[in-house]
Amino acid sequence: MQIRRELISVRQTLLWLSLTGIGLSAVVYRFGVFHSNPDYLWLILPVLAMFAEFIPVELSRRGVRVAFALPYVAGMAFAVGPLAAVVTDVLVTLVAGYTMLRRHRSRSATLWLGINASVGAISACVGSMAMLGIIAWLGNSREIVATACVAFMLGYGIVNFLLVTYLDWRASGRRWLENLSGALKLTSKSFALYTVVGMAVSVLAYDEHYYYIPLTLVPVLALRTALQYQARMYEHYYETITALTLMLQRAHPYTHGHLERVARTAEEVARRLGLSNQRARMVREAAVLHDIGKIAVDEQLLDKPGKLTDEEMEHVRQHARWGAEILEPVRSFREMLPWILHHHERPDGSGYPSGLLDPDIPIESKIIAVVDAYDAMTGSEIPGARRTYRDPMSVNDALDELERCSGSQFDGAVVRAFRTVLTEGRY
Amino acid sequence: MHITNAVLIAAAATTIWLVFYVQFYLPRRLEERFLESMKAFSKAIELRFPTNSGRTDEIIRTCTMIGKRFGYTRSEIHELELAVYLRDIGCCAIPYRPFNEKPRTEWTEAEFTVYNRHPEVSGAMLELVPSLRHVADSVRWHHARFDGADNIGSPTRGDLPLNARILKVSSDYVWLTSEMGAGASLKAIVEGKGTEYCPEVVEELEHVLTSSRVKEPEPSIA
Repeated sequence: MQIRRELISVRQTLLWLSLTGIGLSAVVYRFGVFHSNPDYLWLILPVLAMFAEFIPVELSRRGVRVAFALPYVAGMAFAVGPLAAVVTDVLVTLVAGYTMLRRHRSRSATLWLGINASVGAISACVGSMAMLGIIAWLGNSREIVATACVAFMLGYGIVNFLLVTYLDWRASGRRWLENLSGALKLTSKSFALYTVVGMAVSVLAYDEHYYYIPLTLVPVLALRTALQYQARMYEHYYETITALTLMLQRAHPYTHGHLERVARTAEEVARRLGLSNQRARMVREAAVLHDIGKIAVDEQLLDKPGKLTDEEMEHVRQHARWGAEILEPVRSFREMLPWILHHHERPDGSGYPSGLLDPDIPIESKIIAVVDAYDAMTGSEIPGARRTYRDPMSVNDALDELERCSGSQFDGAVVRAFRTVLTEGRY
Repeated sequence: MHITNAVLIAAAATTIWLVFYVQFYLPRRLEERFLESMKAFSKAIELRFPTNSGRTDEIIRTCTMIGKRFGYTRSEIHELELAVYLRDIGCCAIPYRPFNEKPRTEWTEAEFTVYNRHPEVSGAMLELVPSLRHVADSVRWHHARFDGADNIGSPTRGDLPLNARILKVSSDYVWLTSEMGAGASLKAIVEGKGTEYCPEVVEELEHVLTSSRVKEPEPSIA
């Protein structure tokens, strides 16, 4: 896995990564064994590694691309020696990276190429050391090739994951643990299958059955296709959210900006309240979609300056139910449905649509309710977000209002967490 | 069995499973995800304009039958279905009140002009969503006349996307059937052959409606 993200300053990172890579390579050179192989059929391995490196899968939303050279790099460790695996990995990264650099010119791309090559070198060195450790422990024989290959792949994979997610954290500010769990979730099953392919390549390389090794491209290409499908499903999920939001913005232009602000803050409040990263992320997505039912609401009522009649109020209040109804067919949204359905419930039971009492209201709905109310009260201070039926409130007045309604209209703990997020400047 | 042989057998078994997985399971799953989203979009529009609701399934059935007559593959049928679900996505930009307060027969000319912009808005919205961009043109021109006499800047005749032509015939047929009954509806469509509607598509519609299969319509892949 490699990083493809733009950085502002990466020279220092490149320096320590390349020095670490060189140091570890020296260790591998010192302890590794070089197998001279006169017929040079092993050259099929770097050729396949190069081919596999040229067909990466872009996980664009995460800013990473997954390449498929690792099984052949592992094979090199058994066919020629651990240092050959390190050199192969660095070379294929540089050549493929340079080709892509020519296609997509950017200022920091050269530095990133160096960083990716260094990450590859460090990962391959750690993998080689794990492999050498297994060989030293169990002895060098045909029986332990598969075990040693697993050690190589795991060593490589773990270090690569840690470094790539760390660098992404430094580059983009995204949380390291969140990134790590996200990347693991997306690629762990593929990595397990990938290890099986690596074992087969290593066994064939150890036995010098080089003619059969190109057959392993079949599972590699199938894995690539599977990852592409996964990436498309992931993208489609977010594009569905985007398209629904676009529809809502077309129906009610004032929601433009409001939804993004509410979503961002709701995620922060969820974290502050101790919800897991994944849950907080879902709260963000639910917050983007919480008013989707307003597509079916008469926009003139939402902008009506005076008091709404009972009938009009009932029509507007239907939006919570309609929102859940719209999202219901999408399986990926099912967990969020109660959060969206109940985002206008109140702890004292006077909310709608079900009049739930405090313990029955999902915490996610309570978070959305507080942040939504705050943004509705103050949002009109933001150009383009002004609503016609109400004058804007100052931040302090809005916070006082939230405090005043805390316990009856809003959850007290959520209001306190929101105030903390606000004072920390995360809004 | 030697462990290295076991590794090779496991790799071969994994390969076979993977090939089936990516060839059959994943495409179906992606298709399902798309259709789920389409149903959500469709539901939103039906809730905004309840008078338009309930026709989507019928239009999909008609489109699918015509598409099959044109030799569409499964993925082409799927794309046609997407276009049906998304055809009115731009209706969310139409003001709520006048169009929900009075029947179509009472709409003013200005209101018709606003309403008739919805395919263009739908197309523009779909252009913004990368995975749906490929159906934007079919959706944008799904009310365009075959001969271009409506002067909305659409391509004409063979330049109109086939999906747009199929969608036009199917949606008009389903709408007219609900207004005046199946016989009169087909007659009106046939009268528009070559002017409002693509002749080949109308011929295929006639074929599917008069064939023995019409009484047992093929289920949509949804």
